[in-house]
Formats: sequence, structure tokens, C-alpha cells
Amino acid sequence: MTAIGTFLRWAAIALLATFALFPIYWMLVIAMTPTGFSRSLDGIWPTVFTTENFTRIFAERPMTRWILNSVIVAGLTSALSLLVGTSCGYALSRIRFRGAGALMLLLLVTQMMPATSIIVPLYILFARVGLLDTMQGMVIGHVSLVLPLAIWMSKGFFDRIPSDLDGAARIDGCTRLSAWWYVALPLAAPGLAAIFIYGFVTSWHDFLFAHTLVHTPSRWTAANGIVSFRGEYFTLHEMQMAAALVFAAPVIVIFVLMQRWIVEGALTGSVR
Amino acid sequence: MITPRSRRWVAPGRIGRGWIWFADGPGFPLLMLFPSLIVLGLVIGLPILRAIEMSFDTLNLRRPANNGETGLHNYLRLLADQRAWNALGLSALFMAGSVAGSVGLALAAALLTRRVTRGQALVRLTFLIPWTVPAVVTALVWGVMYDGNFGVVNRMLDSAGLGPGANWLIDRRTALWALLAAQVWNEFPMSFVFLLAGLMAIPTELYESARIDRAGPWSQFRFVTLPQLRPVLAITVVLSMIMGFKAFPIIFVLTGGGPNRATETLTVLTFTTAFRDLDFAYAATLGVLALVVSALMVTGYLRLVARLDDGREVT
Amino acid sequence: MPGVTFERVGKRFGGSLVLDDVSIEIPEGHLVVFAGPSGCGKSTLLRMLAGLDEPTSGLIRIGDKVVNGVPPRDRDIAMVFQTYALYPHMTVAENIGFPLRMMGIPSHRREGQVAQVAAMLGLTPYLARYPRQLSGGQRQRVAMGRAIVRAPAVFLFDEPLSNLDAALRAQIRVEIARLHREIGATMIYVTHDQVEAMTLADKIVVLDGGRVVQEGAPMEIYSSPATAFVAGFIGAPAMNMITTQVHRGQITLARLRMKVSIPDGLVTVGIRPEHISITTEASSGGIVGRIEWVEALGAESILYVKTESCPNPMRVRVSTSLPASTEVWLLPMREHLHFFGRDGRRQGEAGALVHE
Repeated sequence: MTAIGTFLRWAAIALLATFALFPIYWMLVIAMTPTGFSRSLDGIWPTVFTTENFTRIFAERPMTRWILNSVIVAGLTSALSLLVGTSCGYALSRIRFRGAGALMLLLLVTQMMPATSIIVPLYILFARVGLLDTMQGMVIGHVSLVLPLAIWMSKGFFDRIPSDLDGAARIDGCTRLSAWWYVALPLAAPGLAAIFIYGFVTSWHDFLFAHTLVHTPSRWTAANGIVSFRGEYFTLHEMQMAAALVFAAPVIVIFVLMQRWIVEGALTGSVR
Repeated sequence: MITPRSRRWVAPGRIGRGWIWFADGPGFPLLMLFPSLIVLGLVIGLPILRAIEMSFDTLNLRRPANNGETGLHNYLRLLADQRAWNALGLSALFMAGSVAGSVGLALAAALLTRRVTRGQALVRLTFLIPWTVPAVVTALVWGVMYDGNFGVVNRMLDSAGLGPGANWLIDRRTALWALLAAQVWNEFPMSFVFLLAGLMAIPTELYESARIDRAGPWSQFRFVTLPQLRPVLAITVVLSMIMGFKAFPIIFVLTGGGPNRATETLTVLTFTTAFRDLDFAYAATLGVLALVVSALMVTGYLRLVARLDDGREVT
Repeated sequence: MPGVTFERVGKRFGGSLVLDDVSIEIPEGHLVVFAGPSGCGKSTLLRMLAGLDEPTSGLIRIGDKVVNGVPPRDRDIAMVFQTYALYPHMTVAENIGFPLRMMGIPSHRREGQVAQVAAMLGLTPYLARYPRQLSGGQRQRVAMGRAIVRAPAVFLFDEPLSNLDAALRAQIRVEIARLHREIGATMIYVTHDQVEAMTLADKIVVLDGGRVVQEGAPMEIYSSPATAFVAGFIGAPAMNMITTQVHRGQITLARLRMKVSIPDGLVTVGIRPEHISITTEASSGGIVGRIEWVEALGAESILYVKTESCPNPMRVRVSTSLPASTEVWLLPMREHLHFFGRDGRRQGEAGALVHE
């Protein structure tokens, strides 16, 4: 590679990297500067910083409550999906039964369809049974997003465990069920952790269900809460960005820390 | 040495009674599948069936006059509905733009990253970060950046001398493109991951023999990279298309379908029909339409995968 | 200690018939080898005996009890897999103790039994290690330990040595033979390696294409193979096969002519490399040929001799090597000649030589 070539390559990478990172930088700037800085024409490099936006969102708005709601909903969704999904994934992996292909097809299709198609009937259904504006309702809604992927991914992870191990376990005294419990599950554990994280993040990030199924502000998840800083006449940008950061940061941080592992998991569980 | 124990001879026979039928016998598949199937049926199956049912109904809470009437009227209305066709067209446009932007950018990023030896992990990480930001947040921050008066985008364009920027989200001509930029920002890392993996899977010997045959970088790209990458590229394009079709938060939060329906894709229209116009039955119909479209895309995707697996793959 | 019986067992996978009407009786306490090429159905038979698959027809008995439909854990068997199938997330001690744990034996009592088995197999220093930290041979021993600790009625071995190198294979072969002598349980051993078959078996069952082709003691199979297939399978280097015609009760192999009690027609003549004597002096009763290639193995050599009678070079085992390109005469020992008819079955015997 010539020197010019390398220079150009790195220049291009720098350009793309700027594109990739600037919005995040700007979020930080808005959140950590006093009100009005980002809207002034003082350039894009702040000199004065403040943490008042962060304190304000917790003091003046139920940010803590919102984050807590997000945590609870995401946690429950993910745990439930994992519980239910791993047994299904194991069956798909190990047992040859009629309709296995159809089931996998169905799982695929549900992942690909727009959530707006199911939110309408779901809303009506929830209204009828009184599940609107409840945590349970949110969890149920999110499970529809997470469960198919949980099943698909767990099947992938079980596929990687040699079936001889199941045979050995059954000879050693296990029923098919205890072979799953004592041998297959422990071995799939890292994969299951990945599934939990994916499920958690999917639920954490969701906006559509959060916006539609819950209307009492104290029951909002953070995804919906951060939009509430927009008013009819003006928007509290600084607090909004601070809230957005608090909402988005945990996932970004976890991702950065576990990058390689998560990407591998994504490619395993991906649709292929 | 090992002394034989008295053997525990269970009377052999088919597994019949009790819980053991589930734990070890023919009931095992049922045990493992049942919970999932029930949950899936409830949270996905039921709503979809309800949507289809509703599409034959009338349920408009703003104009309750005809509520309860059944028939094909929603579909007839759909066929004549200019707004719905407009939305479909916009969805298609958005999908195309999203694919072109995401895959193009991802390909460029992947090609650049592939040859980086030192610090590749860091470069990869940088390009992956936009993916980790939730769509809502993407919408909010790009919304701020796009502001006509004090948004960074216009300020930077000004200082670069590229003239006064537009009112990106308010101007009918620029709104869709502005949204696409945000969408591409959020989605290109997914394509990036796939394409990078695909690129790294191309055996270096192919490039070496191309170089021996005196092929320059562009020829190498045309005759080695592209053909080898075709399967992965195809899959990435289709997945990106599907993501583009599903896109909701970015569009809804930034423009809500405006200005004047310039960005009203099918998903946004479905949502506003239901929750703003309160015309639930028609919204369900639109939802069914979206389902059909995505089912078609998924079928296309599966056929593509099958065809690729069938030996079209070049070594 | 019960024996094992396969009674008219058949297995169909989708469209293809993998096992066809197989009946085998395995007496108590015997070590029986199922031998045959890949795909002959031997592993399928073993898995069905283990309960991991079910036959589509026929019965399998352990002792006098029919075990069709009985789950593996209730059959009182243990199996050693080709891939060892050790639980990666458990230590050696936990692996060996797992069957006992499944029986409900509390851990303090398990420890003792595990220690005993480990000592027997030389695994005591490795009890706290994980399978990934062990060598192939050690893993195989852990697999055997896990089987032994159950003290089952029947031991099953599914090509346990295929993944090991030659030296280890020889070593563990001896250990398995020793194990059998000491425990005396019924053992069924599946392999495609004829050395393992010959050295370990009380009885060999040769399978091909889902059918039993021959069963008998090793030496019986060696000296009287029922078909050309068995003859070629057992014994290494493989038996030499020459196709020729019987004409008026006589066959001619190069300059060798002899009477045979076989009807006229096509016949395949087989002679083992160790049953040919070789001379450099022109001999009127021998098959002339030229040494094409020599494999010097130290204690003996294998000569590959190109002849007119046989399209492939004939293999001859000698204790003293000869240089390549030497012209030699091959004298097959008439009492060790095998004849196989068109359908592959053995027939007839060699008679007197006819001199020109």
C-alpha cells in the first residue's frame, strides 16, 4: 500500500467515524452544557460544562421511575422469553417432528413483520381485558417481539452441542427432560446469557409499544419518557438529551465492553 | 475389583403412565413445545387473527355511525384510497433509499476496515456504535441537529460555505431524505457486520492470483470481491429492505408523517389511522396489507437463501 | 449376566433399508465384535441396543426380556462413544460419578466408587480436571470409567479407538481386553478395524449392507471366510483376489494348473499374502511376476508383485526382503486357497496340480 493510499484510507475512515460518532458527541454536548449553548452560534466545542441537566431530570421528572419501569419490563420480558423459549429451541434442535419447518418459518415471519401491524389489534384486545396501562400488558407486548428470536437463537446454540452428549446422558440415567436440564442447558449457558441480553435490549429500546400501551406518565418506560420533553411550543432540549443519554448509555456501555462476544452471538442467531 | 451390584431391573415396557410420559416418552415434544406455542399463539397469533377479523369490520371511534358493519368495505376503500397508495409508495421509496444508503455506506466501511491491521477492533467498534443507539434517541438527536435555525447541520454547512441549509424536516422536498440520513446512520452497522464478515471470508489466494494476472484494484474489486460477496450482499440487501419497511420510531418522532404526508409511510399511516383518527378497523386493514407485503418479502428472502445454498456459491 | 439377542431386527430410515432381518445371538459374558465397512449398519444395531434408536421391525432382548421401547436408562447398559461424549462442563470425577448421581446415590458414597474406578484406569491424578485439559487417551479412559462405574449388564463400544493414534490404540486395546477378562460382562464392540476385531473378539459378526454376512470365532473367519467380501475385509494386507475361469474342472493361473472340484465357469481365487512362498528360481508350478514395489516394515516386508494373472499387484509377505524389479515366481499354498463363485460365496477346494 502506497503512503498516499494509506493516508487516503485513514482519511476516509476518519470521515466515516466522524459521521458515526458525531451525533453521540452532540448528545453529550447538549446534555452537559448549560441551557442554550447548543442553540447558540458559539461553535461546536463547548467550554462550560454542567451536570444540572442530569440532576434536573431526576428531580423534576419521574426519570427514576421511568428507568425502573424499563428495567422491570425488560427484565421480565427477557426472563419469560428465555424460560419459555429454551425448551422450544431444544425441541426444534433435537426432535424431528412434523411442522418443525413450518414453525421455524413462522418464527422468521414474525421477526420480519412491522410491529404496527400487531399493535392495533393488540391495543383493542388489551382494552377489552383491561391490560392497557399496565406493566403486565407491556411485558406481554414485548414478549411478542422477543420470544421468536429467543427460540431461534436457542435452537442455534443447542445445535452446536453434539447429540452424543444427550445419548450419553440418557444412558447414564437421565430422562430426555433431565438430559436437557443437566447437560444441554448448562452447556448452552453462555448462549442463553446472550439471548437474555438481546431480549433485554430489545425490550429496553422499544418505542411503539411503550408509547401506545401505557398512558399514565408514572408507568411509562424510559423510551416513552424521553419523548415527553417535547412540548407544544418548545422543547427542553438539554434535559431531553440528558434523559436520552441516561436511557441509551447503559446499552452502549455494555456493548462496548462485550463487543466481540455479542457480535458473534448476533451472527449465530441471525437469520441464516 | 468392581463387584457386580444387584441389578435394578425395571419391568420393560412402553412408557405409559404419569408424568414420565412427558419427561421421557412420546409426550416430550409436547412438553417442550407447548409453553412456547401457547405464548406465541396468544401474543402474536391472536392479534393477527383479530386484525384480519377487524379488517372486515367497522370500528371508528370518531365516526361511530357505521360501527359493527361487516364486509369487504375496508378493502374496497383501500383500493381507492389515494392516501394509502401514497403511503405504500413512500414506504417503497424509503426502503430503497435505506438499502442504498445503508448497504453502500456499510460496503465502503467494510472495504476500508478490512485492510486495517492495527486498531481494527477500534475501527469496527466505532462503526458499530450507531447500532447500539435506540431508534427513539436517534430520532431525537437528529431532530435537534436538523433544526432549521440552530441545528448543527445547517451551521456546519454554513461554515463550509455550502450556503444556507434547508429547513430539513419542515420542507416537503427534503424531509424524506433527512429521515433517510438518520435511518442510514442507525442501520448501516448491521449491514457492516455482515459485509465485513463476508469480505474476510474471501480467500486471499484469489486476490494474489488476480494480482499475478496484473489486475489493478478496480479490476480486483469487479472480478474477485463483488462475485464472492454476492451471496452476502444479497442477504444484506434483503434484510436491510425489511428493516426499512418496518421503520417507525424515526419517522414518527421526527415528522409524524408530515409535512403534509411527505413522509407518511405505511407504518406511520397505520399508526395514525388507529390512534389519531381512531379508525381502528381501517387501521387493521392497513396492518394486514403491511403483513402481506412483509410476507412476500420474507418469501423472497427464503427463496434467495435456498438458491444460494443450492450451489450457486462460488469457491 | 444376561446375553443379548437380536431377533429379525430391521431398520428403515425414510426410504432406505439400513438393516434387513438381522438375527444375532450373543452369549453371556462374551465380547462380540460387529465388524464391517462404513454404512453397513453396525452402529445402528448398537444404538438400537442402547435404546437411542428403535428398530422398525424385530425384537431386541437383554437376557430374556424384550427391551423394545424401554428407555436407555432402564436397560442396564453402558456405552463408550467414538467421540467420548464426556460432559465438558463437569470434572473427570463428576463425569464418572454422573451415572451414580442419577441413581440417587449421595455424594459421599459416590466419591468412593469414583476413586476406585479412577484408580483402576490410572486416572486418579486427573480427577479434578476438565475434559478439555486431557489428552485423547485420557479422555477415552474417562469414558470407560463412566461406563464401568455403572457395573452394567452389557457394555457397548462404538468405535472407541478411531480417534486415537496407532500407539494409543494398541495400548487401550489391551486394556479393554484386560477389562473384559476381569469383569467378564457381556460386551459388544463395533469397529471397522480388523485388527481390533481379530484381537478382542470371542466372536466376530461381519456385516455388509445391513445384513449379517458371517459370524464366528476370529480364526474361523480368517481361515474360512464365507464370501469374498469377508475374505477381503479380515486380514491385512488384504487377501489377493484373482478372477479366472474353471474349464473342465481345471483352473490355470499363469503356469500353474490344477484340478478343482468346482463347476465350470467364472471363479475368484483368493490367497493371503502370508500364504504365498516366493522364489527367484524359475519354477514350473509358479506364477511369474516382477516385484514392483517393496514395503519394508522391519520385522517383515510386503512385496508388491506385478503378474499377468491379476490386474493389481499381488501382495506377498516375506521375512527377508528382495529388491524391486526382481523376477520372481509365486507359489500359493494349495491348502490355503479360497474359491469364490459368481455370487461371492465360497465353494470347492483345490485338487492336485496338473503338470505340463
